[in-house]
Amino acid sequence: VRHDDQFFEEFYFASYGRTVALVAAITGSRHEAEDVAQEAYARALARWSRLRGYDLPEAWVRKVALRIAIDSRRRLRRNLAATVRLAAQRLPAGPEPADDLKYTPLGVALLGLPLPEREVIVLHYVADLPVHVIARESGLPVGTVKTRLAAGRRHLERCLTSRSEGVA
Amino acid sequence: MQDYELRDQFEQWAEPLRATRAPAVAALRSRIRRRAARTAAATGFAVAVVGLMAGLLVAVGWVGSGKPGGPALQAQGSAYPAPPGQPYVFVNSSATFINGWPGPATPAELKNAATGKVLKVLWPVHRGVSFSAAAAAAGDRLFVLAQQDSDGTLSFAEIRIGASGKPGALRQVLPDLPAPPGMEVVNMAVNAPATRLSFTTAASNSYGPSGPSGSLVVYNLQTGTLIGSWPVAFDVGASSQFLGYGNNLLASIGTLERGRNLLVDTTTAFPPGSSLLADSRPFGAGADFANLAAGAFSQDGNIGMYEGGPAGRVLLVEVSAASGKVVRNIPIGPSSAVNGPYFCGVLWASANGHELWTQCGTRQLAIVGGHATQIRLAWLLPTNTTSGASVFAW
Repeated sequence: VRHDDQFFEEFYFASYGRTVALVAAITGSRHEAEDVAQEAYARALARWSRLRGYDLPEAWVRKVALRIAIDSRRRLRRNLAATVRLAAQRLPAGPEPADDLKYTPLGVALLGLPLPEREVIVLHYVADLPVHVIARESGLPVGTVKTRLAAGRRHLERCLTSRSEGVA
Repeated sequence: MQDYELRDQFEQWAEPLRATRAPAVAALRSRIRRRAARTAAATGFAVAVVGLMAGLLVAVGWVGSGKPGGPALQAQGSAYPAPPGQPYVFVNSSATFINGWPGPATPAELKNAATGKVLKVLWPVHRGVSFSAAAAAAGDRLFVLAQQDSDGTLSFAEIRIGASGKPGALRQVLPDLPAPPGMEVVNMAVNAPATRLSFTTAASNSYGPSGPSGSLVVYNLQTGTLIGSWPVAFDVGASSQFLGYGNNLLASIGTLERGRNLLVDTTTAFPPGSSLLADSRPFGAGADFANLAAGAFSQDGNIGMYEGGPAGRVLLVEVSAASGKVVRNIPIGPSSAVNGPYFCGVLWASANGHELWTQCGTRQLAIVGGHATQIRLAWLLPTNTTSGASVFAW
Protein backbone atom coordinates (compact mmCIF):
# COMPACT_ATOMS: atom_id res chain seq x y z
CA VAL A 1 0.00 0.00 0.00
CA ARG A 2 2.82 2.34 0.90
CA HIS A 3 4.47 1.62 -2.43
CA ASP A 4 1.17 2.37 -4.20
CA ASP A 5 0.80 5.66 -2.33
CA GLN A 6 4.33 6.69 -3.25
CA PHE A 7 3.78 5.74 -6.86
CA PHE A 8 0.61 7.82 -7.00
CA GLU A 9 2.26 10.82 -5.33
CA GLU A 10 5.16 10.74 -7.75
CA PHE A 11 2.80 10.53 -10.69
CA TYR A 12 0.53 13.24 -9.30
CA PHE A 13 3.22 15.80 -8.44
CA ALA A 14 5.07 15.19 -11.71
CA SER A 15 2.09 15.54 -14.03
CA TYR A 16 -0.21 18.00 -12.21
CA GLY A 17 1.16 21.15 -13.85
CA ARG A 18 0.86 19.65 -17.33
CA THR A 19 -2.77 18.80 -16.70
CA VAL A 20 -3.50 22.30 -15.35
CA ALA A 21 -1.96 23.86 -18.47
CA LEU A 22 -3.99 21.60 -20.72
CA VAL A 23 -7.29 22.36 -19.01
CA ALA A 24 -6.56 26.08 -18.73
CA ALA A 25 -6.22 26.19 -22.49
CA ILE A 26 -9.75 24.80 -22.76
CA THR A 27 -11.42 26.86 -20.03
CA GLY A 28 -9.38 30.07 -20.17
CA SER A 29 -9.34 30.19 -16.39
CA ARG A 30 -6.50 29.07 -14.17
CA HIS A 31 -8.79 28.74 -11.15
CA GLU A 32 -11.21 26.53 -13.03
CA ALA A 33 -8.35 24.54 -14.54
CA GLU A 34 -6.94 23.74 -11.11
CA ASP A 35 -10.38 22.75 -9.88
CA VAL A 36 -10.94 20.44 -12.84
CA ALA A 37 -7.43 18.96 -12.58
CA GLN A 38 -7.90 18.19 -8.90
CA GLU A 39 -11.22 16.53 -9.62
CA ALA A 40 -9.57 14.36 -12.29
CA TYR A 41 -6.71 13.37 -9.97
CA ALA A 42 -9.18 12.62 -7.18
CA ARG A 43 -10.94 10.20 -9.53
CA ALA A 44 -7.59 8.71 -10.44
CA LEU A 45 -6.68 8.26 -6.78
CA ALA A 46 -10.01 6.54 -6.09
CA ARG A 47 -9.25 4.08 -8.91
CA TRP A 48 -5.51 3.85 -8.47
CA SER A 49 -5.57 0.09 -7.92
CA ARG A 50 -6.81 -0.18 -11.52
CA LEU A 51 -4.93 2.74 -13.06
CA ARG A 52 -1.51 1.78 -11.74
CA GLY A 53 -1.57 -1.10 -14.22
CA TYR A 54 -2.03 1.25 -17.17
CA ASP A 55 0.92 2.06 -19.39
CA LEU A 56 0.03 5.75 -19.31
CA PRO A 57 -2.13 6.75 -16.34
CA GLU A 58 -1.58 10.38 -17.37
CA ALA A 59 -3.52 9.72 -20.56
CA TRP A 60 -6.46 8.59 -18.44
CA VAL A 61 -6.26 11.69 -16.25
CA ARG A 62 -5.95 13.90 -19.32
CA LYS A 63 -9.03 12.36 -20.88
CA VAL A 64 -11.11 12.68 -17.72
CA ALA A 65 -9.95 16.26 -17.11
CA LEU A 66 -10.79 17.30 -20.66
CA ARG A 67 -14.22 15.75 -20.45
CA ILE A 68 -14.95 17.51 -17.16
CA ALA A 69 -13.70 20.80 -18.62
CA ILE A 70 -15.70 20.48 -21.82
CA ASP A 71 -18.85 19.35 -20.01
CA SER A 72 -18.40 22.29 -17.67
CA ARG A 73 -18.12 24.66 -20.66
CA ARG A 74 -21.27 23.25 -22.24
CA ARG A 75 -23.20 23.43 -19.00
CA LEU A 76 -22.09 26.98 -18.48
CA ARG A 77 -23.24 27.92 -21.95
CA ARG A 78 -26.67 26.35 -21.35
CA ASN A 79 -27.07 28.15 -18.07
CA LEU A 80 -25.77 31.43 -19.35
CA ALA A 81 -28.80 32.37 -21.42
CA ALA A 82 -31.15 32.17 -18.48
CA THR A 83 -28.83 33.79 -15.98
CA VAL A 84 -27.58 36.73 -17.96
CA ARG A 85 -28.51 39.17 -15.27
CA LEU A 86 -26.83 37.15 -12.52
CA ALA A 87 -23.78 36.57 -14.65
CA ALA A 88 -23.43 40.25 -15.38
CA GLN A 89 -23.38 40.96 -11.67
CA ARG A 90 -20.64 38.40 -11.13
CA LEU A 91 -18.33 39.17 -14.03
CA PRO A 92 -15.13 40.86 -12.90
CA ALA A 93 -14.47 44.30 -14.36
CA GLY A 94 -11.05 43.21 -15.57
CA PRO A 95 -8.53 40.42 -15.28
CA GLU A 96 -7.87 39.09 -11.81
CA PRO A 97 -4.27 38.35 -10.83
CA ALA A 98 -4.41 34.58 -11.37
CA ASP A 99 -7.11 34.54 -14.00
CA ASP A 100 -5.65 36.48 -16.89
CA LEU A 101 -5.26 33.73 -19.48
CA LYS A 102 -8.32 34.73 -21.40
CA TYR A 103 -6.93 38.27 -21.75
CA THR A 104 -3.66 37.27 -23.45
CA PRO A 105 -3.62 37.37 -27.28
CA LEU A 106 -3.22 33.59 -27.47
CA GLY A 107 -5.92 33.07 -24.84
CA VAL A 108 -8.36 35.29 -26.73
CA ALA A 109 -7.62 33.47 -29.97
CA LEU A 110 -8.00 30.06 -28.32
CA LEU A 111 -11.33 30.91 -26.72
CA GLY A 112 -12.62 31.97 -30.13
CA LEU A 113 -12.18 28.43 -31.42
CA PRO A 114 -15.09 25.97 -31.41
CA LEU A 115 -14.59 23.36 -28.68
CA PRO A 116 -13.80 20.38 -30.98
CA GLU A 117 -11.05 22.35 -32.73
CA ARG A 118 -9.78 23.85 -29.49
CA GLU A 119 -9.46 20.39 -27.94
CA VAL A 120 -7.35 19.11 -30.83
CA ILE A 121 -5.17 22.23 -30.90
CA VAL A 122 -4.57 22.04 -27.17
CA LEU A 123 -3.69 18.34 -27.27
CA HIS A 124 -1.24 19.00 -30.09
CA TYR A 125 0.43 22.21 -28.92
CA VAL A 126 0.06 22.10 -25.12
CA ALA A 127 0.16 18.34 -24.44
CA ASP A 128 2.57 17.93 -27.35
CA LEU A 129 0.80 14.85 -28.71
CA PRO A 130 1.21 13.70 -32.30
CA VAL A 131 -1.84 13.40 -34.53
CA HIS A 132 -2.20 9.63 -34.32
CA VAL A 133 -2.14 9.69 -30.50
CA ILE A 134 -4.78 12.44 -30.43
CA ALA A 135 -6.89 10.34 -32.77
CA ARG A 136 -6.54 7.27 -30.54
CA GLU A 137 -7.26 9.14 -27.29
CA SER A 138 -10.21 11.05 -28.73
CA GLY A 139 -11.67 8.14 -30.65
CA LEU A 140 -11.58 10.19 -33.87
CA PRO A 141 -10.34 9.26 -37.34
CA VAL A 142 -6.87 10.62 -38.09
CA GLY A 143 -8.32 12.61 -41.00
CA THR A 144 -10.77 14.40 -38.70
CA VAL A 145 -7.98 15.31 -36.29
CA LYS A 146 -5.90 16.70 -39.16
CA THR A 147 -8.85 18.72 -40.48
CA ARG A 148 -9.60 20.21 -37.07
CA LEU A 149 -5.93 20.92 -36.47
CA ALA A 150 -5.62 22.74 -39.78
CA ALA A 151 -8.80 24.76 -39.22
CA GLY A 152 -7.74 25.66 -35.69
CA ARG A 153 -4.28 26.68 -36.81
CA ARG A 154 -5.72 28.93 -39.54
CA HIS A 155 -7.97 30.62 -36.98
CA LEU A 156 -5.11 31.16 -34.52
CA GLU A 157 -2.80 32.51 -37.21
CA ARG A 158 -5.50 34.87 -38.42
CA CYS A 159 -6.23 36.17 -34.92
CA LEU A 160 -2.62 36.49 -33.79
CA THR A 161 -1.44 38.09 -37.04
CA SER A 162 -4.24 40.64 -37.20
CA ARG A 163 -3.66 41.49 -33.56
CA SER A 164 0.07 42.06 -34.03
CA GLU A 165 -0.66 44.15 -37.15
CA GLY A 166 -3.19 46.17 -35.19
CA VAL A 167 -0.67 46.80 -32.44
CA ALA A 168 1.99 47.80 -34.98
CA MET B 1 3.08 32.26 -39.17
CA GLN B 2 5.23 29.13 -39.08
CA ASP B 3 4.29 26.13 -36.99
CA TYR B 4 7.34 26.50 -34.76
CA GLU B 5 6.38 30.12 -34.03
CA LEU B 6 2.94 29.03 -32.89
CA ARG B 7 4.52 26.27 -30.82
CA ASP B 8 6.85 28.84 -29.19
CA GLN B 9 3.89 31.01 -28.27
CA PHE B 10 2.15 28.05 -26.67
CA GLU B 11 5.32 27.14 -24.79
CA GLN B 12 5.62 30.62 -23.31
CA TRP B 13 1.93 30.71 -22.51
CA ALA B 14 1.88 27.29 -20.81
CA GLU B 15 5.18 27.56 -18.92
CA PRO B 16 3.86 29.29 -15.76
CA LEU B 17 0.89 26.95 -15.71
CA ARG B 18 3.06 23.85 -15.90
CA ALA B 19 4.90 25.16 -12.85
CA THR B 20 1.69 25.18 -10.80
CA ARG B 21 2.27 23.39 -7.50
CA ALA B 22 -0.07 20.54 -6.76
CA PRO B 23 -1.96 20.69 -3.48
CA ALA B 24 -1.40 17.93 -0.92
CA VAL B 25 -2.89 14.52 -1.63
CA ALA B 26 -5.16 15.08 1.40
CA ALA B 27 -7.07 17.64 -0.67
CA LEU B 28 -7.80 14.93 -3.23
CA ARG B 29 -8.97 12.56 -0.53
CA SER B 30 -11.36 15.24 0.69
CA ARG B 31 -12.77 15.47 -2.83
CA ILE B 32 -13.22 11.71 -2.92
CA ARG B 33 -15.32 11.92 0.21
CA ARG B 34 -17.50 14.66 -1.30
CA ARG B 35 -17.90 12.68 -4.48
CA ALA B 36 -18.82 9.56 -2.52
CA ALA B 37 -21.59 11.55 -0.90
CA ARG B 38 -22.86 12.49 -4.36
CA THR B 39 -22.64 8.84 -5.39
CA ALA B 40 -24.72 7.91 -2.41
CA ALA B 41 -27.32 10.41 -3.56
CA ALA B 42 -27.35 9.00 -7.06
CA THR B 43 -27.47 5.46 -5.72
CA GLY B 44 -30.45 6.49 -3.70
CA PHE B 45 -32.22 6.85 -6.97
CA ALA B 46 -31.04 3.46 -8.17
CA VAL B 47 -32.41 2.02 -4.95
CA ALA B 48 -35.68 3.74 -5.77
CA VAL B 49 -35.81 2.10 -9.15
CA VAL B 50 -34.96 -1.27 -7.63
CA GLY B 51 -37.71 -0.84 -5.09
CA LEU B 52 -40.28 0.30 -7.62
CA MET B 53 -39.61 -2.45 -10.05
CA ALA B 54 -39.50 -5.16 -7.43
CA GLY B 55 -42.86 -3.94 -6.24
CA LEU B 56 -44.23 -3.88 -9.74
CA LEU B 57 -43.34 -7.51 -10.17
CA VAL B 58 -45.42 -8.34 -7.13
CA ALA B 59 -48.19 -6.06 -8.36
CA VAL B 60 -48.42 -7.77 -11.72
CA GLY B 61 -47.98 -11.27 -10.34
CA TRP B 62 -44.51 -12.19 -11.52
CA VAL B 63 -43.31 -12.77 -7.99
CA GLY B 64 -45.33 -14.74 -5.55
CA SER B 65 -48.82 -13.20 -5.77
CA GLY B 66 -50.38 -16.17 -7.56
CA LYS B 67 -51.99 -13.93 -10.19
CA PRO B 68 -51.13 -14.33 -13.84
CA GLY B 69 -48.47 -11.96 -15.07
CA GLY B 70 -49.00 -9.34 -17.72
CA PRO B 71 -47.59 -9.68 -21.21
CA ALA B 72 -43.81 -9.53 -21.42
CA LEU B 73 -42.58 -6.26 -22.82
CA GLN B 74 -40.29 -6.72 -25.77
CA ALA B 75 -38.00 -3.73 -25.79
CA GLN B 76 -37.39 -2.42 -29.27
CA GLY B 77 -34.28 -3.97 -30.75
CA SER B 78 -33.87 -6.21 -27.73
CA ALA B 79 -33.27 -9.93 -27.77
CA TYR B 80 -34.45 -10.16 -24.18
CA PRO B 81 -38.01 -9.61 -22.97
CA ALA B 82 -38.34 -7.17 -20.12
CA PRO B 83 -40.16 -8.43 -17.03
CA PRO B 84 -43.94 -8.22 -17.22
CA GLY B 85 -45.21 -4.89 -16.00
CA GLN B 86 -43.95 -1.49 -16.88
CA PRO B 87 -40.85 -0.27 -15.10
CA TYR B 88 -40.68 3.52 -14.97
CA VAL B 89 -37.85 5.86 -14.44
CA PHE B 90 -37.61 9.51 -13.45
CA VAL B 91 -35.00 11.49 -15.36
CA ASN B 92 -33.96 15.01 -14.48
CA SER B 93 -33.03 17.00 -17.52
CA SER B 94 -29.82 18.32 -16.04
CA ALA B 95 -28.00 18.70 -12.79
CA THR B 96 -28.70 21.91 -10.94
CA PHE B 97 -26.64 23.98 -8.58
CA ILE B 98 -28.30 24.43 -5.24
CA ASN B 99 -25.68 26.83 -3.97
CA GLY B 100 -23.21 28.80 -5.99
CA TRP B 101 -24.32 29.64 -9.47
CA PRO B 102 -27.97 28.74 -9.89
CA GLY B 103 -28.97 27.45 -13.29
CA PRO B 104 -32.40 27.82 -14.84
CA ALA B 105 -35.16 25.49 -13.70
CA THR B 106 -35.27 22.40 -15.86
CA PRO B 107 -38.08 19.91 -16.29
CA ALA B 108 -37.87 16.20 -15.57
CA GLU B 109 -39.26 13.30 -17.51
CA LEU B 110 -41.14 10.21 -16.48
CA LYS B 111 -40.10 7.41 -18.80
CA ASN B 112 -40.86 3.83 -19.50
CA ALA B 113 -37.54 2.35 -18.39
CA ALA B 114 -37.48 -0.43 -20.97
CA THR B 115 -38.51 1.52 -24.05
CA GLY B 116 -37.33 5.01 -23.13
CA LYS B 117 -40.74 6.44 -24.10
CA VAL B 118 -41.52 9.69 -22.28
CA LEU B 119 -44.85 9.42 -20.44
CA LYS B 120 -44.88 12.88 -18.94
CA VAL B 121 -42.74 16.00 -18.68
CA LEU B 122 -42.75 17.32 -15.11
CA TRP B 123 -42.08 20.84 -13.90
CA PRO B 124 -41.36 21.51 -10.21
CA VAL B 125 -44.24 22.73 -8.08
CA HIS B 126 -42.35 25.90 -7.17
CA ARG B 127 -41.09 27.94 -10.07
CA GLY B 128 -37.42 28.69 -10.59
CA VAL B 129 -35.82 25.53 -9.19
CA SER B 130 -35.34 21.98 -10.43
CA PHE B 131 -36.00 18.64 -8.77
CA SER B 132 -33.02 17.67 -6.66
CA ALA B 133 -33.85 14.13 -5.52
CA ALA B 134 -36.31 11.36 -6.28
CA ALA B 135 -37.61 8.16 -4.72
CA ALA B 136 -40.06 5.52 -5.89
CA ALA B 137 -42.38 3.38 -3.80
CA ALA B 138 -42.31 -0.36 -4.40
CA GLY B 139 -45.54 -1.65 -5.86
CA ASP B 140 -47.52 1.56 -5.71
CA ARG B 141 -46.36 3.14 -8.94
CA LEU B 142 -45.60 6.33 -7.09
CA PHE B 143 -42.68 8.71 -7.27
CA VAL B 144 -41.86 11.34 -4.66
CA LEU B 145 -39.72 14.20 -5.90
CA ALA B 146 -37.87 16.78 -3.82
CA GLN B 147 -37.04 20.34 -4.69
CA GLN B 148 -35.16 22.95 -2.71
CA ASP B 149 -35.61 26.68 -3.07
CA SER B 150 -32.68 29.06 -2.92
CA ASP B 151 -33.50 29.88 0.71
CA GLY B 152 -33.18 26.20 1.59
CA THR B 153 -36.92 25.46 1.88
CA LEU B 154 -37.65 21.83 1.01
CA SER B 155 -40.84 20.73 -0.67
CA PHE B 156 -41.98 17.35 -1.89
CA ALA B 157 -44.39 16.35 -4.62
CA GLU B 158 -45.76 12.99 -5.70
CA ILE B 159 -46.94 11.56 -8.97
CA ARG B 160 -48.87 8.32 -9.29
CA ILE B 161 -49.11 6.09 -12.33
CA GLY B 162 -52.54 4.61 -12.84
CA ALA B 163 -53.37 1.01 -13.61
CA SER B 164 -53.65 1.95 -17.29
CA GLY B 165 -50.06 3.17 -17.19
CA LYS B 166 -51.07 6.84 -17.44
CA PRO B 167 -49.47 9.21 -14.93
CA GLY B 168 -51.68 11.52 -12.87
CA ALA B 169 -50.96 15.12 -11.92
CA LEU B 170 -48.00 16.16 -9.80
CA ARG B 171 -49.19 17.29 -6.39
CA GLN B 172 -47.39 18.57 -3.33
CA VAL B 173 -47.21 16.33 -0.27
CA LEU B 174 -46.13 17.49 3.19
CA PRO B 175 -45.98 21.19 4.03
CA ASP B 176 -42.89 23.16 2.99
CA LEU B 177 -40.03 22.32 5.35
CA PRO B 178 -37.34 24.75 6.41
CA ALA B 179 -33.86 23.28 5.95
CA PRO B 180 -30.84 24.51 7.89
CA PRO B 181 -28.72 26.82 5.71
CA GLY B 182 -26.20 24.98 3.60
CA MET B 183 -27.92 21.60 3.88
CA GLU B 184 -29.37 19.66 0.99
CA VAL B 185 -31.09 16.34 0.34
CA VAL B 186 -28.68 13.63 -0.78
CA ASN B 187 -30.91 10.57 -0.59
CA MET B 188 -34.62 9.76 -0.39
CA ALA B 189 -36.73 6.62 0.05
CA VAL B 190 -40.46 5.83 0.17
CA ASN B 191 -41.87 2.62 1.63
CA ALA B 192 -44.02 0.26 -0.42
CA PRO B 193 -47.42 1.40 0.95
CA ALA B 194 -46.32 5.02 0.33
CA THR B 195 -46.92 5.94 3.98
CA ARG B 196 -43.35 6.83 4.98
CA LEU B 197 -40.83 9.16 3.37
CA SER B 198 -37.22 9.24 4.55
CA PHE B 199 -34.49 11.56 3.40
CA THR B 200 -30.87 12.23 4.30
CA THR B 201 -29.43 15.71 4.27
CA ALA B 202 -25.78 16.72 4.14
CA ALA B 203 -23.83 19.94 4.36
CA SER B 204 -23.23 21.26 0.87
CA ASN B 205 -20.97 23.64 -0.94
CA SER B 206 -20.78 24.68 -4.56
CA TYR B 207 -19.52 21.22 -5.48
CA GLY B 208 -22.53 19.49 -3.99
CA PRO B 209 -22.80 17.63 -0.72
CA SER B 210 -19.56 17.79 1.20
CA GLY B 211 -20.38 15.97 4.42
CA PRO B 212 -19.24 14.87 6.89
CA SER B 213 -22.42 15.49 8.84
CA GLY B 214 -26.10 15.66 8.15
CA SER B 215 -29.36 14.19 9.32
CA LEU B 216 -31.75 11.35 8.62
CA VAL B 217 -35.41 12.42 8.66
CA VAL B 218 -38.61 10.35 8.38
CA TYR B 219 -42.14 11.72 7.79
CA ASN B 220 -45.55 10.10 7.75
CA LEU B 221 -46.71 10.83 4.20
CA GLN B 222 -50.40 10.36 5.04
CA THR B 223 -50.59 12.68 8.03
CA GLY B 224 -47.62 14.93 7.28
CA THR B 225 -46.24 14.41 10.80
CA LEU B 226 -42.59 13.94 11.71
CA ILE B 227 -41.67 10.38 12.70
CA GLY B 228 -38.04 10.97 13.58
CA SER B 229 -35.01 13.15 12.92
CA TRP B 230 -31.52 12.03 13.81
CA PRO B 231 -28.10 13.63 13.29
CA VAL B 232 -25.72 11.37 11.37
CA ALA B 233 -21.98 11.65 10.72
CA PHE B 234 -20.46 10.10 7.64
CA ASP B 235 -17.37 10.44 5.45
CA VAL B 236 -18.06 7.99 2.67
CA GLY B 237 -21.79 8.46 2.31
CA ALA B 238 -25.19 7.81 3.79
CA SER B 239 -28.18 6.23 2.18
CA SER B 240 -31.48 4.78 3.25
CA GLN B 241 -34.00 2.36 1.81
CA PHE B 242 -37.11 0.60 3.06
CA LEU B 243 -36.86 -3.18 3.24
CA GLY B 244 -39.80 -5.48 2.67
CA TYR B 245 -43.23 -3.91 2.39
CA GLY B 246 -43.65 -2.28 5.79
CA ASN B 247 -42.00 0.48 7.80
CA ASN B 248 -38.51 -1.00 8.29
CA LEU B 249 -35.98 1.60 7.24
CA LEU B 250 -32.39 0.54 6.60
CA ALA B 251 -29.86 3.33 7.04
CA SER B 252 -26.37 2.68 5.63
CA ILE B 253 -23.85 5.07 7.10
CA GLY B 254 -20.32 4.89 5.69
CA THR B 255 -17.22 6.28 7.35
CA LEU B 256 -13.61 5.87 6.34
CA GLU B 257 -13.12 3.40 9.18
CA ARG B 258 -16.17 1.22 8.70
CA GLY B 259 -19.71 1.06 7.45
CA ARG B 260 -22.73 0.66 9.66
CA ASN B 261 -26.16 -0.66 8.68
CA LEU B 262 -28.96 0.20 11.07
CA LEU B 263 -32.58 -0.93 10.90
CA VAL B 264 -35.23 1.43 12.27
CA ASP B 265 -38.89 0.53 12.69
CA THR B 266 -40.64 3.76 11.67
CA THR B 267 -44.16 2.64 12.63
CA THR B 268 -44.33 5.03 15.58
CA ALA B 269 -42.82 8.47 16.16
CA PHE B 270 -39.58 8.97 18.09
CA PRO B 271 -39.10 11.74 20.65
CA PRO B 272 -37.02 14.74 19.52
CA GLY B 273 -33.33 14.54 20.37
CA SER B 274 -33.17 10.75 20.40
CA SER B 275 -30.15 8.96 18.99
CA LEU B 276 -30.20 6.81 15.85
CA LEU B 277 -28.05 4.18 17.55
CA ALA B 278 -30.51 3.92 20.43
CA ASP B 279 -33.55 3.88 18.16
CA SER B 280 -32.25 1.22 15.79
CA ARG B 281 -30.77 -2.24 15.74
CA PRO B 282 -27.76 -3.42 13.73
CA PHE B 283 -28.57 -5.02 10.42
CA GLY B 284 -26.50 -7.72 8.75
CA ALA B 285 -23.67 -9.79 10.07
CA GLY B 286 -21.68 -6.91 11.48
CA ALA B 287 -19.17 -7.14 8.63
CA ASP B 288 -17.67 -4.03 7.12
CA PHE B 289 -20.43 -2.72 4.89
CA ALA B 290 -18.69 0.59 4.13
CA ASN B 291 -19.06 -0.01 0.41
CA LEU B 292 -22.80 -0.44 0.80
CA ALA B 293 -23.24 3.21 1.75
CA ALA B 294 -22.89 3.66 -2.00
CA GLY B 295 -24.69 0.44 -2.90
CA ALA B 296 -28.06 -1.16 -2.26
CA PHE B 297 -29.74 -4.18 -0.72
CA SER B 298 -32.28 -6.35 -2.48
CA GLN B 299 -35.85 -5.59 -1.48
CA ASP B 300 -35.97 -8.63 0.84
CA GLY B 301 -32.77 -7.46 2.56
CA ASN B 302 -30.85 -10.68 1.91
CA ILE B 303 -28.28 -9.49 -0.64
CA GLY B 304 -26.18 -6.33 -0.65
CA MET B 305 -24.78 -5.10 -3.96
CA TYR B 306 -22.04 -2.64 -4.81
CA GLU B 307 -19.57 -2.06 -7.61
CA GLY B 308 -15.87 -2.77 -7.23
CA GLY B 309 -13.22 -4.72 -9.01
CA PRO B 310 -9.66 -5.11 -10.21
CA ALA B 311 -7.91 -3.26 -13.02
CA GLY B 312 -9.75 -3.04 -16.27
CA ARG B 313 -13.24 -4.11 -15.29
CA VAL B 314 -16.12 -3.33 -12.99
CA LEU B 315 -17.48 -6.14 -10.85
CA LEU B 316 -20.89 -6.26 -9.26
CA VAL B 317 -20.11 -7.59 -5.79
CA GLU B 318 -22.93 -9.43 -4.04
CA VAL B 319 -22.67 -9.79 -0.27
CA SER B 320 -24.79 -11.96 1.98
CA ALA B 321 -26.46 -9.84 4.65
CA ALA B 322 -26.60 -12.87 6.92
CA SER B 323 -22.92 -13.81 6.81
CA GLY B 324 -21.30 -10.61 5.53
CA LYS B 325 -19.40 -12.73 3.01
CA VAL B 326 -19.10 -12.14 -0.72
CA VAL B 327 -21.54 -14.42 -2.53
CA ARG B 328 -20.32 -13.75 -6.05
CA ASN B 329 -18.50 -11.26 -8.24
CA ILE B 330 -20.09 -10.57 -11.62
CA PRO B 331 -18.17 -8.59 -14.27
CA ILE B 332 -20.54 -5.99 -15.71
CA GLY B 333 -18.32 -3.81 -17.87
CA PRO B 334 -14.98 -2.15 -18.48
CA SER B 335 -13.61 0.24 -15.85
CA SER B 336 -13.28 2.88 -18.56
CA ALA B 337 -17.09 3.13 -18.53
CA VAL B 338 -17.15 4.43 -14.96
CA ASN B 339 -16.35 7.96 -16.02
CA GLY B 340 -18.25 7.79 -19.28
CA PRO B 341 -21.52 9.45 -20.24
CA TYR B 342 -23.65 6.42 -19.32
CA PHE B 343 -24.61 4.94 -15.96
CA CYS B 344 -22.62 2.01 -14.57
CA GLY B 345 -24.38 -0.18 -11.99
CA VAL B 346 -27.60 -2.01 -11.24
CA LEU B 347 -30.64 -0.80 -13.19
CA TRP B 348 -33.16 -3.22 -11.79
CA ALA B 349 -33.28 -6.12 -9.35
CA SER B 350 -35.94 -8.64 -8.49
CA ALA B 351 -37.13 -8.63 -4.88
CA ASN B 352 -34.68 -11.36 -3.85
CA GLY B 353 -31.80 -10.09 -5.99
CA HIS B 354 -31.75 -13.34 -7.99
CA GLU B 355 -32.46 -11.52 -11.24
CA LEU B 356 -30.82 -8.28 -12.25
CA TRP B 357 -30.48 -5.80 -15.05
CA THR B 358 -27.18 -3.96 -15.13
CA GLN B 359 -25.69 -1.31 -17.32
CA CYS B 360 -22.06 -0.28 -17.44
CA GLY B 361 -21.43 2.26 -20.16
CA THR B 362 -23.14 0.92 -23.27
CA ARG B 363 -23.07 -2.71 -22.09
CA GLN B 364 -26.38 -3.97 -20.67
CA LEU B 365 -26.79 -7.38 -19.06
CA ALA B 366 -29.59 -9.55 -17.75
CA ILE B 367 -28.24 -11.66 -14.88
CA VAL B 368 -30.17 -14.64 -13.56
CA GLY B 369 -28.58 -16.56 -10.71
CA GLY B 370 -25.18 -15.15 -11.55
CA HIS B 371 -25.38 -16.11 -15.24
CA ALA B 372 -25.11 -13.02 -17.44
CA THR B 373 -26.64 -12.53 -20.90
CA GLN B 374 -26.01 -9.41 -22.94
CA ILE B 375 -29.20 -7.47 -23.69
CA ARG B 376 -30.00 -4.24 -25.47
CA LEU B 377 -32.74 -2.05 -24.08
CA ALA B 378 -34.07 0.70 -26.28
CA TRP B 379 -32.17 3.39 -24.39
CA LEU B 380 -29.18 3.93 -22.16
CA LEU B 381 -29.47 5.50 -18.73
CA PRO B 382 -27.19 8.53 -18.72
CA THR B 383 -24.91 9.57 -15.92
CA ASN B 384 -23.52 12.94 -15.04
CA THR B 385 -19.79 13.50 -14.93
CA THR B 386 -19.70 17.26 -14.65
CA SER B 387 -17.88 18.75 -11.73
CA GLY B 388 -19.60 21.33 -9.62
CA ALA B 389 -23.02 19.80 -10.07
CA SER B 390 -25.13 19.48 -6.98
CA VAL B 391 -27.50 16.69 -5.98
CA PHE B 392 -29.57 15.42 -8.82
CA ALA B 393 -31.74 12.51 -9.72
CA TRP B 394 -31.73 10.92 -13.12
